[in-house]
Amino acid sequence: MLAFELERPKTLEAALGILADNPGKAVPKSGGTDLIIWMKKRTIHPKILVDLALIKDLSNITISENGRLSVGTNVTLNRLEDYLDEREVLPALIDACRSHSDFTLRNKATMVGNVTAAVPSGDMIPALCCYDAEVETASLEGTRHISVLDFILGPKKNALDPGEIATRINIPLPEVAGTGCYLKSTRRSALDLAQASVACVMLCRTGVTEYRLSCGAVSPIPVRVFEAEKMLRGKSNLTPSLIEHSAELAVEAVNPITDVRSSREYRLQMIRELTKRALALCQKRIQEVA
Amino acid sequence: MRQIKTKTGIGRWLPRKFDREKAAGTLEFTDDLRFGPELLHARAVRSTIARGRILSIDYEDALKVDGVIKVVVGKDFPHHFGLYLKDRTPMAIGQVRYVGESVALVVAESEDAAEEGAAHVKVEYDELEPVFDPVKAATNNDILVHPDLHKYDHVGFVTPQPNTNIATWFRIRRGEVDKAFKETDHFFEETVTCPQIAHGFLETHCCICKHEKASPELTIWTSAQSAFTVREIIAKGIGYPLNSVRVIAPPIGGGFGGKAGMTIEALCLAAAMDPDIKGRPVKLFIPREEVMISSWVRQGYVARIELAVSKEGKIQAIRNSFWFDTGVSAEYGANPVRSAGYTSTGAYYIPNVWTDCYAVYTNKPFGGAYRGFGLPEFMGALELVIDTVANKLGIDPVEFRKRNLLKKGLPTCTGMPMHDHGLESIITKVAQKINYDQKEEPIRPGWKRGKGIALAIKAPAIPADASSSAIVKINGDGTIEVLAATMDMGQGTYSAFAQMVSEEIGVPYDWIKVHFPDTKSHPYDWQTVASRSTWSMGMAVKQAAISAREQIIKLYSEFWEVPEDCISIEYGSVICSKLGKSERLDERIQNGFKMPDGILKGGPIIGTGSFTPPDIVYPDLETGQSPKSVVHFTVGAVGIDVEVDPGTGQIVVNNVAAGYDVGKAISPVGIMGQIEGGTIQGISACLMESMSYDEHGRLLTPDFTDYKIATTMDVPSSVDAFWEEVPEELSPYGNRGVGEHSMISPAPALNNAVYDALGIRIHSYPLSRERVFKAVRALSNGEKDFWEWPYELEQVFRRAKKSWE
Repeated sequence: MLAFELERPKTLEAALGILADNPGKAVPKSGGTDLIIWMKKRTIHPKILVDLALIKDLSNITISENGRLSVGTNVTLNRLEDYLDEREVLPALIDACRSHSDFTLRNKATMVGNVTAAVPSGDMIPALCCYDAEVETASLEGTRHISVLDFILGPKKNALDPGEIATRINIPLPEVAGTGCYLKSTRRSALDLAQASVACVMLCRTGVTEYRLSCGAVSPIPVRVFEAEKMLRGKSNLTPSLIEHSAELAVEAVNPITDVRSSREYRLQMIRELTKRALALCQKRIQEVA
Repeated sequence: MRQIKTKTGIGRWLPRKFDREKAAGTLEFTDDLRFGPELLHARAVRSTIARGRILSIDYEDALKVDGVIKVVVGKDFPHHFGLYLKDRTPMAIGQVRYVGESVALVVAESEDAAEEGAAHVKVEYDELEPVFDPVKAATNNDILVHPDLHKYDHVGFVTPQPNTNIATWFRIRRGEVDKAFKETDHFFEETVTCPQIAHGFLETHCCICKHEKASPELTIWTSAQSAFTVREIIAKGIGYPLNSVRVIAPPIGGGFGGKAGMTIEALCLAAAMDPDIKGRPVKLFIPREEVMISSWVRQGYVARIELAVSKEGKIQAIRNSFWFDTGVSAEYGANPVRSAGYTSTGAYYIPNVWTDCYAVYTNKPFGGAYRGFGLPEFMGALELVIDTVANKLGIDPVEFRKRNLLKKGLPTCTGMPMHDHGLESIITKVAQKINYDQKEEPIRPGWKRGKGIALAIKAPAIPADASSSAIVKINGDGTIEVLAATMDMGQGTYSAFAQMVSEEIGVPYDWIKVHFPDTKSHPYDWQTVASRSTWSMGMAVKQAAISAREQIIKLYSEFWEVPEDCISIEYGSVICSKLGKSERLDERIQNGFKMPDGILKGGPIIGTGSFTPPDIVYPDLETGQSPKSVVHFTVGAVGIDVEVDPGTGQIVVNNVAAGYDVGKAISPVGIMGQIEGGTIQGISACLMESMSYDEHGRLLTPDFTDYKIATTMDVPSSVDAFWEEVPEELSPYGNRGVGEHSMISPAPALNNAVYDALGIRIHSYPLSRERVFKAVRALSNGEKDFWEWPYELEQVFRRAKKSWE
């Protein structure tokens, strides 16, 4: 790893100041599980690493009165998983936390980091898209709120401006009963990036069951399968043909590539298979709750 | 009368030596050694192309980096090195042959400066067309990886073919093969392929070299399996006497063959011997990102096996063609190719044998030693073919194997009669343990379940004169130190040696220490490879212990004035029950005994032992025949029960049983560990391990993000391990090696189980989820066989949609 300076500001203002004073040279770090590896591989070489870990304001999880969950950039995946699990909310996000890397890495890795890294296989992204999550950012100019769907512009490209930090991710908690899941296809059963992944959320509004489907690792930007969601809307009983048709629509919505992890063809097949399994699993989970 | 009593001798379950320090994290590995501010750091500049001429190396900018003191290039250190075939220079000279080859070495005051300096070296190449496919390289000589092959020195049993890419060609010609194929009832031909795989040891390579400023004296601290072989290769390479090269091998964090022979030492030496650097120690640490492109790998292969089988289900003839992908160097890789060749009927008796095993140069990282040394490769193919043939003939695969077993007295493919062994009973037990005869329902709804078996066989693949020696020193308090230059890299040999010494001298295991190798103090041992140490070094240790014991008893006999057979050593005390005497071993062992006649006798007691295999004869180069081609074989079998998810291609191993004939279990905890570890490593290799390259020869799996090794989530929670004990004749206690054997057959057993589950034969390793999924789809299209030519995959990759731009 090439040499760099480490800054550990205690306030967001100080961090933003360092970034503003060193345009193009300073990079913020939360968990660092991607960043440090990229630095070791010399794909990026910041002169200054701005570690956000000591900023208390960015280290909490809150739920506002209007039911909005807000997760600070320093919150690790293990902490988030415990928090959600205890309150029995956002099941697809709980699955996503558990599928990410392994337990020890999840002690460092953060959800905000996973989204800002903007890697197509980011495990948190599909579930966050299903839950209509937004990224909250801060810069000396002020704060912005950008939906996760719009935040990721391409592989390793996000909507952050120079000098801007992703401070939180905010998720409106569903007001109605429901369930969700996240399934991923990998080369082995732990510690692997998704070859393809599917998040599915089922919301039981009175009279109208609503579905949300999102796919990971199969497109440069996040994908919601709106066509399938539209078709499934109001269907409380998922018949095999509905499931089959949804899988077809998911395949049509994605555009994977071939790399060392998987061929494009296998990714397409897995999107089909995982979509079917995710819908069936939601159906099973909702029945278990009932 | 038995003269020794101990509770910690051979066969006992005891805590392994150095386990406590490893668990505490206090054991010092090479990278942990401290050399103070004198230490310099080296970093390699590596080739970015697979084949080409070096036009220029510009390191002006590197020298400007603060802390960089020197840049060394290939022509500055033009020595050739190699164990069996000297086809390697530490750095490319004139031309590069694979992506990752060292082109220059930047030496600096700090690791960071060396790294930054290396990033500033600019190399210009005239790119040439490379060759990656071993069959193409072997059969078409358009591209020669080593045009100078005819100039390289090599040992007599390696047979390079000048003006080709064949680094060695091992042959078996036995019986009348053509006739047998013409006259026998059934004929089968099958092909199996497997890519290169990597060892994945935890500790990456590290080496420190220091050359004395005033005299030609060299000290090397290195993470090596074989201190003496490093010394020998280095000394021969640079023309130094053996006693001017001292090699110290601190504990290593895993080897699996990847630290056998010489690895990075010569590259480090290129800096340490530089006139401007001499006198200062130079450290070369290979970071994880560079290990896989700069170290041994297990050779990939393409295997074609033809079998002629009678209607009674007896194999009459075999014709083997094995193309081993040895990458850019066969200096070590030539020998696993031979090892596969002289075991090329597996654990079966086949009267007519034709074998061609080739080590083929390609423009890829170099093939070398890897646990199993040619046999996981060979048996990975043969055991699939045996299974396929049995199924096609409608004979139960277990029965077919037993019917053709290489029983005692029958000749192996080299003509050597097979010794006694317990394989038949092991096969029966393995089959019972996985309920082989019972078709069981899958545990997971919608999955397919199957069971498979494969046999293992391997001899130590050693030169005929691979020798060992040991020293046993008795200290003045009865404690013992053993100098045996074996590397204990987790296999537990030091525990086995201590148990042998306890068995022979009657002192408790805890009083016995075995030291890590230093060529300055230790007596010679060839290498810690080939599952040979508890056998070969075991002979030397046992002999040394006996010699020390005999000296002790002789002295006490004279001291107490009783015959020697009245004296015993029990639990650390010397006893004469006739006189009612019992004395702990004490300083008299060191300082001598005042004998009844008033004369002081004795002095420090040192036992010594030496061993060399007495009667190996190298196989004839034309026919492969030899009255004794190897010292002995270890045999065994693996049974696996799997389930496959047809929707994704995922395989889950429900149960695995593995048994080997170890002759005698010296250290059962070590044997259990070896069987468990090798089984898991074999399953991992089968399920996911592959070094994959793009069409330019760039490794796509250079680190653990993409080179996948099984985690605990991917393997069964336990291995049903067991062993039989049919004694080996020439052995300290009848024991045979088992360290590598456990890696040989998990892959074919698993593959056979997947065939049983799905009904389609997958001819290409690894059985990745994607590949198994594709096979399931092929099955639904009516296919019965599925294989992917690994080198065609590169072409597929060339045409694939690889980015969104």
